[in-house]
Amino acid sequence: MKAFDLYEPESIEEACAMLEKGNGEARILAGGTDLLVEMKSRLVNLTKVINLKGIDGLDYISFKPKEGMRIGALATWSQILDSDEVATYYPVLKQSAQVMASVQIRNMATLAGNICHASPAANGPIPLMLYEAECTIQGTAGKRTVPIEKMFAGVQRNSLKPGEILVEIHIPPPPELSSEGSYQKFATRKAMDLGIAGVGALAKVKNRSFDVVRIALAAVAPTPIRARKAEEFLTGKSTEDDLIREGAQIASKECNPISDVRASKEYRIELVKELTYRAIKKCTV
Amino acid sequence: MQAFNIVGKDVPRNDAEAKARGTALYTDDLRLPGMLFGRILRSPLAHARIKHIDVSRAAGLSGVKCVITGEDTPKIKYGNWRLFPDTQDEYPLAVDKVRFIGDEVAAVAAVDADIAEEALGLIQVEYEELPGVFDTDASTREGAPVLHDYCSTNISVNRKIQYGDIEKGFAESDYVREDTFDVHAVSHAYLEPCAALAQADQDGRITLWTSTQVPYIVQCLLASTLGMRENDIRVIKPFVGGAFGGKMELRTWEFCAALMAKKTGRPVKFTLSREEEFLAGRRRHPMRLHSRVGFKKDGTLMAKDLRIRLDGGAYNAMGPTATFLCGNFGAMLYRYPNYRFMGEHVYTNKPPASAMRGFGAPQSLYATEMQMSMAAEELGIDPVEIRLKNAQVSGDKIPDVATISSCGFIESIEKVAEMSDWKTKRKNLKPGQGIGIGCYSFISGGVFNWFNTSYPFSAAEIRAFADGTVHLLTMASDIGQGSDTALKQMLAEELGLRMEDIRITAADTAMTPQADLGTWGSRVTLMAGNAVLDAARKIKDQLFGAVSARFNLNLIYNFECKDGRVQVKLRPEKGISFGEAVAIVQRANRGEPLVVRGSYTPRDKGLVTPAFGFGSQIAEGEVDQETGQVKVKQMWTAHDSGTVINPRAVEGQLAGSIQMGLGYSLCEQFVMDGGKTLNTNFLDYKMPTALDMPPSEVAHVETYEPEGPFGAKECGEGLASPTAPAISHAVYHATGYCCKDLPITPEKILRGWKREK
Repeated sequence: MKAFDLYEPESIEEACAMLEKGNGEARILAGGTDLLVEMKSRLVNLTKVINLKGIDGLDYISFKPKEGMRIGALATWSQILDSDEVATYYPVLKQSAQVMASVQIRNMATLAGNICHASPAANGPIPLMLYEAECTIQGTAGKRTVPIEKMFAGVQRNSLKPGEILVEIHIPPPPELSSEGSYQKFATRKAMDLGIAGVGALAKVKNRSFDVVRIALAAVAPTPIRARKAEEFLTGKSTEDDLIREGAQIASKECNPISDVRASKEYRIELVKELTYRAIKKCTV
Repeated sequence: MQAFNIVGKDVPRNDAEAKARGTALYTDDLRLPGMLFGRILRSPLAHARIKHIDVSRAAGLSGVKCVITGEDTPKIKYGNWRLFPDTQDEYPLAVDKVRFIGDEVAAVAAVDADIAEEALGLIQVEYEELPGVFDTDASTREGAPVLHDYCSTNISVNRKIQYGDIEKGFAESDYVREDTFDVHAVSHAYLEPCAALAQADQDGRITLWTSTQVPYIVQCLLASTLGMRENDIRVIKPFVGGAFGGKMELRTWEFCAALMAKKTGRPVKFTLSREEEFLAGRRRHPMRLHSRVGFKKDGTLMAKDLRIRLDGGAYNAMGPTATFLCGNFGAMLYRYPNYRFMGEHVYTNKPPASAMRGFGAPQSLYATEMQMSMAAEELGIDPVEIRLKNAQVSGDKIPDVATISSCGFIESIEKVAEMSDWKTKRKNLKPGQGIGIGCYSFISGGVFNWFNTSYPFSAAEIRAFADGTVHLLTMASDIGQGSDTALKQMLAEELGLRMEDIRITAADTAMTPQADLGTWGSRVTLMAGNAVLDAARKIKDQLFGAVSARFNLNLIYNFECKDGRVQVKLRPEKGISFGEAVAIVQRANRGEPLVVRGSYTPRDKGLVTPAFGFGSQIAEGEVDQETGQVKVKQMWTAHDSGTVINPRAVEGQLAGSIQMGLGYSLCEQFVMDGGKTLNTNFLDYKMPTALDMPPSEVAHVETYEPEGPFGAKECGEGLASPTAPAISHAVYHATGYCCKDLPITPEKILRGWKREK
């Protein structure tokens, strides 16, 4: 690894100022599980690393029925996995934590870092998109809030501006649903693996038809995406198998995967079809 | 069956606690004062002539102490096949040409690893790119670019085996099938990447600590390649974190560490990164196997015609051995009255393949076993029955190989069928579910002396002390398989001592007795074990003499070493403690310590192996009908390793074999673009994790191998073969898709399944 300067700010404001001054050669360190790999393999050319861990009070997960959940920038995947409130109110987020890497990685890696890394295959964005979370971003000029979908600008590119830090993820109060929802991650291994494709779904079923449907797809486009056409198609439809299959087919047309060392484009499209079917089916039982 | 005290018991491993606590020292943990850190510059091109190398900027970087290229070396080629010097085709650093992406071009030693890495970027190499060949077809085509000047084509080694009358055999067959299989390269993926640390003493002699499975081979080849004498090189093997055949040759970093230590007068250490291991490391041979096999209607094997091309990559490495052995393995498991094998080892511009757990057997047996299963189906015979019908048995002679002295193969098939409830499950599984079988035979060490050693194949020295302890010295190399523990168990058993009475010093070429060819071919238990027993028996002779004289006994009495005593058999009161007996011998020899040497070299055992292991495995699996994903639900194994020295260690070998077999059959592969390896990390090299392991049950089939110590034979590598055919057969049973090009990926299954539907 190349030598770098390590900064340990004591406040977010100080961190933002350092980041802005870093002129593109500075990056934020939270869990470090993505950043250090990039640095060691010389994929990034950094001269400054700004460690957030010295800032107190950023590792919170709090929940109020009327406000929803707030997750601080330093909250780890292990904290999410252990949280009763996540399990009770946002079960798909818990499901995604269960299939995230390994115990050792979950102990270090943060949900905020998972978003900022902006991998199309990431586990974090899928449940957050289903629950329509928003991100609080702080920069030297102040704070702004963006919907989770707007955090992603491309493959491993987030939409943060120079000097900006993702400081909090806010998930609105849980929507009224008829089931827990489902996250279907397809990977070669049971642990320590990136999904070849992933599909999350939430639904509210009333009188055997879909009142609300939300579908999010991972690893099949440059960013995580919502499958809105499939959602629209299914909303108001009955929960018959054929219709779910048809909705899944639509979702598979909304994605835009690539062929790479992990799988072919064609296979990924097949997977989206099947995983979407399975995810929605789970919402109906 | 002989009753044992320590042999056959779950004795805790010597090294277990140190490894679990993190106190075990591996080569990379070692640090010497003034030590420099080495890094290797590798070729970015698959095939190129080196026109010019300029190291001046790298050498001028502050902190860099030494930069070398091929020009700074004696330019002496090396290779493990010393018996045939022509096959020695490798230079430690490229001379004139590079032949694969990752080929070693230059080395830097600096005061820290980051500076060394930076210096690599400052070395300027001017290449003239040459056309490359990336598979055996392209490489053997008329007019293909030739990789090595010494060899006029890219076929560097060939091997024929023939017996019986193959044409007559096929003519008399009722059913003949012909298949082509392509099996792929996989990585050893040992958890400890290669590392070496060298120090030169005041006389210029070298001490090399290295992560190796063959200290003696490294000693000899390092000496010859540096133009030094063998005794000027001392090789020490610290703890080794796995090797699986990937650390059984002299390697560039060992050479560079030694040469640079000599040049700088400072210790030099190299540790490879995982990316280097995946990019340029040794791998299992990809092979194309054409196999034609003939049967009688009742399933009796009549003839087999096997042609194999090994994709050897850019250098021979251990390819010649693999070429020889895959022909032997093709006929080892069943009785083929007529057999012909033609094997060719082919150069391509890819990282060299070499030995890897099974040494040609996983590839060869994949073809054998899939054909047996497919033939059984077409002949309407149960796959278990067709195997029982043709299985080798004790006393069978494999022409040109050897007579099988012990064989529990039939028992293993019967046992594993019973454990798995084979008959019921073959009939009653649901769609998408399947059950399949794979079997193996393997060698207990090799006989053919390709290294041309002038020492015994294995040796042991035992020093006995009046305090009742002994010191065992051996060059046998424990690389994680547990041989230090197994050898101590055998010695304790023979001398009637406890494990804690034995000190062991292993794998230090200046201290441990010449010689041992190392850990490969599942040779250590049998060969080093026999050497230990040979020495132990010599110790016993002397101790028995001492007791006889002490009690003035009639010559007809027999003696034993038992429970820390040396005594008259059947009259144990006539005896003394082990230490007292040693003291008497020592006094009788004017104080000279009681030291003996034992050895083992197989004789009258043909040219392949002194003993054969056998076994059978059944896999039950389920294929997801929509995604093609395979879930292996249960494995059953019954194996014949002769006497089991340490059951827990054997079960560890089995678990590791299943894990490797799972990866080999389902998910591990190098994704290549021409000569470039694209997946150079564990994220994209899909080695299964602990969570992916299926439940497994094992039965030991008890046989007694007359050539083995206490009746023991191999258990390390044979088990590497059956898992892939067993799983593949289960997938075939579940889907009708028979995979002929490993690995069996979900995408291939879906495509194959649709064809079958």
